[in-house]
Amino acid sequence: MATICVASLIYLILTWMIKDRYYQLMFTIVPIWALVGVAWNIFSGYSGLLSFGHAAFFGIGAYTVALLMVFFNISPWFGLIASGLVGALSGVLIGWTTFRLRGHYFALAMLAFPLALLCIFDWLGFQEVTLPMKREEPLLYMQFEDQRLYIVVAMVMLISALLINLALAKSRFGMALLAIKQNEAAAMASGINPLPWKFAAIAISGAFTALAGGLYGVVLLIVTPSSVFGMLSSAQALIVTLFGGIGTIAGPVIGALVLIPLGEILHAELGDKLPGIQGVVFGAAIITVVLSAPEGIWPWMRSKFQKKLVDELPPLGLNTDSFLRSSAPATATGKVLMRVSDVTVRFGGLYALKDVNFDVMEGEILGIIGPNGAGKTTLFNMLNGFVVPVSGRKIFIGQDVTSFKTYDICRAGIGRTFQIVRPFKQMSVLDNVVISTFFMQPDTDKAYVMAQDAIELVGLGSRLNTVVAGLTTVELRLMELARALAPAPRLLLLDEILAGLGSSETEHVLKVIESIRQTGVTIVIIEHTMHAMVRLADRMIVLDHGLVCAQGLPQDVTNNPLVIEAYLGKKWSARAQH
Amino acid sequence: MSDSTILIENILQSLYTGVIVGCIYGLMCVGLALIFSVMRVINFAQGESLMLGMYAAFFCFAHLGIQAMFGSYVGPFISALLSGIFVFVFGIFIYEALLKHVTGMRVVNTEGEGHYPQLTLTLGLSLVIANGGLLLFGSAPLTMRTPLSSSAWELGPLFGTDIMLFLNQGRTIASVVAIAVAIGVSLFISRSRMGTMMRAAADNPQAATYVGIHVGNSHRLAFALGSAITAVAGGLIATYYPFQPYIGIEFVIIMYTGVLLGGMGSVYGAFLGGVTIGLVQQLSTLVLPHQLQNTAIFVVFLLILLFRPQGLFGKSVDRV
Amino acid sequence: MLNIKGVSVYYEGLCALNNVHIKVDSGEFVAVVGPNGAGKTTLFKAISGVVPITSGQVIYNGQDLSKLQAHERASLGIAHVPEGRQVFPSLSVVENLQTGAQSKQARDAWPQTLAFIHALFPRLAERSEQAAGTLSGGEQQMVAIGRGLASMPQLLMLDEPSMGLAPAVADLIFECIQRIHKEQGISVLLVEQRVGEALESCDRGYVLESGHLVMSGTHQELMQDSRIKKSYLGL
Repeated sequence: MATICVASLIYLILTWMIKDRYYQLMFTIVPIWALVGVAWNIFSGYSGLLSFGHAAFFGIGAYTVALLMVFFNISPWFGLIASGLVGALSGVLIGWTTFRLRGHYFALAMLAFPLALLCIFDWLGFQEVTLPMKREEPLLYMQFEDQRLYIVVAMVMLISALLINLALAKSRFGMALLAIKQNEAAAMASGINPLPWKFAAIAISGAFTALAGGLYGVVLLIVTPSSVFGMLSSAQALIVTLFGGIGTIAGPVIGALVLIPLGEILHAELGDKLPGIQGVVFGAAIITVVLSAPEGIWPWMRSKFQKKLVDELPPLGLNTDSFLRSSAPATATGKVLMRVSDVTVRFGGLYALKDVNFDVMEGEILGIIGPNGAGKTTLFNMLNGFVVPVSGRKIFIGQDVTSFKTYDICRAGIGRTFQIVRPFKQMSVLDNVVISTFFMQPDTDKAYVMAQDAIELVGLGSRLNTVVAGLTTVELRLMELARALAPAPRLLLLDEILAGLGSSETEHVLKVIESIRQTGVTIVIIEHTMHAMVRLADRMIVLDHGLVCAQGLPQDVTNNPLVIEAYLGKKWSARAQH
Repeated sequence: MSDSTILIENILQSLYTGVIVGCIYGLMCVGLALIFSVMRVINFAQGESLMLGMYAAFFCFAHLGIQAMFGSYVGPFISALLSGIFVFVFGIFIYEALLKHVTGMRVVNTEGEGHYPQLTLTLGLSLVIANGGLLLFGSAPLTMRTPLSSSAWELGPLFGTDIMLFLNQGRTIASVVAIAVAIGVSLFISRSRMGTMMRAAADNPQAATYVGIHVGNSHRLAFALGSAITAVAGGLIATYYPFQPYIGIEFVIIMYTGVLLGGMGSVYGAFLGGVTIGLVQQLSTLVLPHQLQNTAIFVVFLLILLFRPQGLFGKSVDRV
Repeated sequence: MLNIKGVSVYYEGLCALNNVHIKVDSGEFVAVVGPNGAGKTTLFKAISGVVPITSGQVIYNGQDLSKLQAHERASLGIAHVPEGRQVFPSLSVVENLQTGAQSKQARDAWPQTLAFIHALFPRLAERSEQAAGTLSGGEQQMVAIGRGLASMPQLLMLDEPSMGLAPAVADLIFECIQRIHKEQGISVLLVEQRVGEALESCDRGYVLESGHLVMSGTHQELMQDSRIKKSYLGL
């Protein structure tokens, strides 16, 4: 925050010294585009949904201010407020139409909006809306004789956007968005419902972009469809941020500082002889950034600097004894925690799971095994709410959770780890873990305490504030475990948490899992590594071709001829009988 | 003539023009669909391939002597075909220099399949080419009109009524050329060895590698060919519509809507999608003012995205 | 013929294969078995060049394959029939088969090769023009094997051909693999989870567990070894 204030002051002081009106205008445009970039970033940089159509908001803002003044004689001071509101509203509307679309389709839809608006405004007869000069009361109508005052207005808007951005970044809002960007499925499993966050993000983004557009209109005194709704505007919003660094706070500002003056100078000096040079240079800038520094220039510089920091960390010595809680072993209470009855899951014509029945007893460790393709992952996805069964029910602590969405299942007390861990590399272990507690702990301080407890339970206490980019694979697994544990679930689903680990690492994780059970959490685990499973699990369920083919104690199950046949094949078990 | 007869005449005229223009749009969409179905890349720069096709055709016609050699009746159509060759070569260059770094085997199994770098790269490319065009060619609109553009065959009176249809000769011939090229492309894709290799690489890049197909080469061919096909369509459009360096943006939404309508994985569907869009555009002139024609297309575009993203002739775009 | 010497594959800090030694001599049928996650598919991907090797060498007919890119290895005579069939769904059956014949030699011999594939798998002749994506699992496996044969390989590598197939169909597939080996003299490297089927037809076998080679031996030695059960089921 201090940086923002100091840098802004320096900017204001430097620009105050400019006497030439042309350059004054240019340095007014810089913060306007920086604002657009920051606004764009608040939505796209954080959510990962790249918007190629922010020109829609920019243009809407510009036209709102212009038309209010031309037709209703409303001063831009109010017009700007109106444009902010209209921008937010358009954001929600556009979001409502496009959020259900994925990847390509979303990008295309966002592209279409400004182009459509361009045609519409053209047709409506607003090819050139000029803001009337108000010589009698210029200040009331935001018409400053001294051009530099516009810079002040622009900077005020930019600073407020930056401050909001800063507040969001560290807040639940920002972290929820980032979690959604990194891995939407994992975010949902952490109790985050993505939709309200996305709407909030696009509304804020739309509002600020519209404000920028409004000020742009006031400064230039003229609004045309192609100048505000055109591709170059959408592209500028994108480039400025991409160049400076997506998902960072300083990024769009740096991008605007470098590219806008560059563009304007090119246009001014060479615009006559080489029309379109601005577009060529911007396009080339995008291409260069995408090919050589895809995260942007600022993060690229930062990563070069940060590499050194990571090398200086001492290696983590895993001490398997230090964290074990000295409580008496928890006995299973004999109560049924979750009951799965007659569940069938179908994908098209294929049955992934058929009439599956089993109970999960409170306090036990239940292992789910089966050969490749047996349906284990589908079972977890069903337990977790990603997949809805076509028939059957699942009852958790007396509540029918069969058709609950993933985030509601999390809120009901079921946590899950994921095989592919995609943490926030630039944030600390603590910050990564705390996100999953937000949905159930409104008090941020208490949330951090819960996160810290979970981190210490898995043995990562010494890595509390380490930036994730420096962790080893087993440490990442443990962090993922802590993330699932932090909201204190009753039931924890572990998805191949031992996959690929070496024997001492596996030992460590096994001890951690046992100590988690000691705290009263019931665990259901899928694993391929049978050696580990038979030691860890109290009971096992064997799936084959979507059916439960055996249930019971590990010794019984592994000697069950049906199970042997499922794993080793009919011919083997036939021979083994002899 | 009664009002209803005039209406019927207008409708029939629009239907005819819609199909004719639609065939050219169809060809344009086939180029884009080829690139998407093989490489899974949304090419924002496809509109610029169209633009380059127009300028290349004009260049062949006016400056390379095609007009001199073949006259003004046949010349423009030959130029349109030749423009395909220029843009093919240009496409190869763009692939090798830029695109191959963000597509192909290196992104096949990564998260999101590299979408965002691809989208952004092609956006940058679109800016460079469109503005580069402005720089090199200037902003004055050009056309490659033929005397045929202003002559029409007369059909009618029909069915004992007073209805007369005017079948514009230039556009009709252009659409026949478009259909012929589309057939040629479809034969290439389905019968030739390289076409089959491209389809295999599109279906399953990893299995294609196992049998010895170089996926990157197939992508390169798809990109160059797709750009060239759209360029030829551009050359044909240039025979009846004025063009300038920013024309790509006008047509890009038409192209995407057509491809979407046809189902994003399907090259054949794309042609039909293009024809449908041509019809929508022409029929909408009956009810909407001129500037809003394209808005009707946007509306169709959004409607498809929202309600039937797999398109009318949909084919699954998920990889094996 | 194929010599995998001390190959290790690491990705993202995890060890998928650790110092694995496997040999296939000309004319042999070698089986690699092991539980899930043992690294069997990674082994094939390393041979085919789709996954990079961290250390060790893959040598084929005296040539170190690390110099060759993935798509160049097919023409050496190694055919990879991947896990999960991986046919080209929008291509017809005969087009799928034909994609296997990329080298000049294979293309010249194509008519005879196609006749052989049809003799082996008559159902593919019946469904020649059908899109491969519409076939049943067993038929797709036939297409995948046929595609491998189309390249006139010296070594046929099959990755879990029975996965997801009904037992009767899986049996048929195994019979065909045996026929290919006996009648054509093509060497076979078979990776399977189902031990009995794999070991039954092999000359020699290896057992992989968590990326390590834990056992190897001839057909008789392995069939009688009770340690295999422990390897799969832990007890």
